[in-house]
Amino acid sequence: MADGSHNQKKSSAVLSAAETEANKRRTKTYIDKWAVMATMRDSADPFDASALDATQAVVELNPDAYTVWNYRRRILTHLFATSHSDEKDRVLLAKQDLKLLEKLIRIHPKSYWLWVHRRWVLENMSSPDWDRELLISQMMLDLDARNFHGWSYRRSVLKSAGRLQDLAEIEYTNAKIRQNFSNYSAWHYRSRLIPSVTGEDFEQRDSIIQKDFETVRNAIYTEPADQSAWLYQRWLLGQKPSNLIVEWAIAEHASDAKFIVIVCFNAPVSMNPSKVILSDAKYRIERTATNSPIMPSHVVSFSIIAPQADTPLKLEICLKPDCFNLPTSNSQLEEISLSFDGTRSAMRVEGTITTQSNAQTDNTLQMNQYQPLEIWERELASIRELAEFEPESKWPWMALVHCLKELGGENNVREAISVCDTLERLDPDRKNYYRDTISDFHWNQTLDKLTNPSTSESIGIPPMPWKLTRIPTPHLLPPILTILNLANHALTDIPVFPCLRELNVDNNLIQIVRRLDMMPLLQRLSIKKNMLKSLRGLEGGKGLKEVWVSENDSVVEQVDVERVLIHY
Amino acid sequence: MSDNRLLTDLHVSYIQGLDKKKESFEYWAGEHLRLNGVYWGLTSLHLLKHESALDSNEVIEYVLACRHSNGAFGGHTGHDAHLLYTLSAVQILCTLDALDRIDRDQTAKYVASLQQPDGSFAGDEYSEIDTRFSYCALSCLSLLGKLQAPFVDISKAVTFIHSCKNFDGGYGSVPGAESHSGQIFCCVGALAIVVFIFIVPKHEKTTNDTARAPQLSQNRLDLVETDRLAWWLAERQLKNGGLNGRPEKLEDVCYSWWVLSCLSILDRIHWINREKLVQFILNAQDTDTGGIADRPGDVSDVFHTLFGIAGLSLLGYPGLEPVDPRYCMPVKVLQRLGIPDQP
Ligand SMILES: [Zn+2]
Repeated sequence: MADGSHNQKKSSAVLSAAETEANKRRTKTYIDKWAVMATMRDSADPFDASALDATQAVVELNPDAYTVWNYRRRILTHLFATSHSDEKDRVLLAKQDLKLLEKLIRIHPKSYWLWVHRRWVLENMSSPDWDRELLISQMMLDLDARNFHGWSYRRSVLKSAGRLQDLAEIEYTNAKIRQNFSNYSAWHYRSRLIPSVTGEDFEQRDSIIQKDFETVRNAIYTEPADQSAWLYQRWLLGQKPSNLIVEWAIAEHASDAKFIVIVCFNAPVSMNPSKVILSDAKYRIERTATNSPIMPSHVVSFSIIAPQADTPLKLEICLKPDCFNLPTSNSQLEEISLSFDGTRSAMRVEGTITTQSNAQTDNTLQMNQYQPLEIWERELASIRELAEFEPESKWPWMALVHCLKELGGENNVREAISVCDTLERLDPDRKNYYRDTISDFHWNQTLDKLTNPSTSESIGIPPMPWKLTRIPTPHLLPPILTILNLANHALTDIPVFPCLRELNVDNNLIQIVRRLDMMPLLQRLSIKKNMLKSLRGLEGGKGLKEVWVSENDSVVEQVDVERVLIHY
Repeated sequence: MSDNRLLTDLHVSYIQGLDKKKESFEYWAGEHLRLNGVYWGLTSLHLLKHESALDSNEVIEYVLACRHSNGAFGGHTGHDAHLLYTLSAVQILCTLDALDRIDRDQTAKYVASLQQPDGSFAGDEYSEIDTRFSYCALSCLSLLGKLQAPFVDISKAVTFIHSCKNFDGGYGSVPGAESHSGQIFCCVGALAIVVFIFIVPKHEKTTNDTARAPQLSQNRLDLVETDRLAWWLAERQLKNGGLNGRPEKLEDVCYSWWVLSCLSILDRIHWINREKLVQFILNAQDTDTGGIADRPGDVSDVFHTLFGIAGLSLLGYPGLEPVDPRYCMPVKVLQRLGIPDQP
């Protein structure tokens, strides 16, 4: 990403007369050297021994001239195959290039093309000296401990040398971190290194992890405002693994012989309804003729046509792995079957996907194992102490929220909400992040109270001392609820509640109508007193019958949407 | 600084003057990426609503002069083909509505030939694997209308990108590499661009003819850990309003684009302080020569000029043409190409 000019002060760019003259001379030299190189390249004898000098003259002035490096590689390939085909001569030629590169890399440590060529030369040697290459990467990282190329080069050398799982690398990153706690590159590298070095040896892994908790504690007490160690601490604590499962599924009679089936997963999926298998051949999946794209989402819906009108839906629906686009090709999904026994919202979900899902895949890639709750408690206690000691530093508070959220429970959530208030004051630039986080806490609390809703199908969210800014998990609203009142909040988007028939979002901050196609059962939508600029998007609601849009001052045009009664 | 404003006219003349600095060494040393430069300048002008400040025919003829016989493009006439410049060429031709001047199939075949067995892409026959090239390839094929088999294996391309994801939710250049906002833009952008097409098998019963239309599933943003990544990206904003590319690094105007476009794709721009970022970009303008620098007080260049202006456009700065965060091109160009908006 270093294609523009970086760190060049304007004051230094004003050249003196002598400097301007030197720049002009340099330009002329460069144009001349390029011409010599190009003439030779396009001649009948492009691989003459002097061609190497011609290319060197150009790249010494401009290491980014990739075309010239390409030419140089063609020359070398030719020489390796002809005059310099025996081992000794090959090594001599290769070493000459490595030396040139070493010189240039010192001057231009961030030139991408130099590293490309260096790797090419090494790949063309029969026994490259990888130890020496590691020393070079070390030298680069001593000059600039965050140099992206330096770290990439180090990993690629280790890979070529077959030493990616070297315990010595754990030591090396330790040393880098001890030199400077603020080395996020080194912390990151450990997050990849520890799982690959320790493999199945969980005892060894845990002993490294526990020592790292100690190092992190040292780092954050030394420099609580530095984000590197705080971010790494999240990796140490780990992420709860989760498999892809079905949360719920319903079928609703839509019209005549048509049923709408809605299936909700615990993670976004992108599903191909045409691959769904039905147990009874008299039923079929309705093909929608739409070309509009489908977003991966927690909820998928499709329509089933019964053999005749008013047949109850008695059917097993089978979702096989090929219904899903999954992240990795080695996913081993088992099938999911959903059975419906004829009554409207009766649902019985049988079988879940028990192996690969997004989270699982990440876990095998690089995630740390999820730490037991007593470790979270231990870290929480230590962070709390630091937060009280450094009340004006935001990072201890951030980490506190992270732990409290994971541990859950009413008291922890209450504390987390009040810490978010503190954070909003300490870090006003990201105030909307904290507000969304608070909103999530309130919504999740509400949801907890709803897990066993009464027989009532309607609900107004109980009054809360907070205006919701977003609904993090609308799909988790129990599907038995069909009417919801979310008026007088601060929502900026219409939340996608897949099973609702009626939604009231009056007096919020909604600017556009979108994703109504993901609410196939929605019939009535009240969206008065918002900030709508247009009513485009209403046509997405396929089941929509009635919409209220008054007091949206910036809506200038009235629209006609087929079948929908719009109250202006 | 509240009277700070975008110096549109000065930037337009700055871009017009870029090709007239032939005495400076930097002009020649930057020759290998001139085609990138033309894309940066042209796109800046279109976002500034000064489409006619460069002669379209001249630009098109120049782009075609950089074309190789295999359909690929070099960074300048006489320079070798590379994916980086092939994408710029296609972007320019799309913006100028001149895609019919090239053999789209041939260019798409060149791009596809760079895909490796693991789904990743190389930049050319010698260069390394890098998620930057995954983005260049997928964006380019999408613009050419060839983001499909047999040109490319989209599933494998996605799998490779996914393997570059880190614990912080970000992405690196290869599996194991540190998260970096530029690479994150490439990965998130690519995942936002990919389209899967399901064809309904012929033997299945259909109710009518249109029912056999292919089903599209757009984007694989489900693979992104949205809140985790968006928070990490929001933490790139520093006290001075600028954004950095990695933790504990300096702010830089080009990250106004890399970070902001991702936040936009993920619908989380409101997690940073927009007003402060607008001021930071405006302060990085060169009030004498025009153009925008990497940060206030530095020398401006066309690369930072585009990413500053594109950032301002995403931030809703008045008077600018809307930009598409996935392609870094004017929204109206993509509409003309029939590329659907992000749902
Ligand atoms: Zn920059």
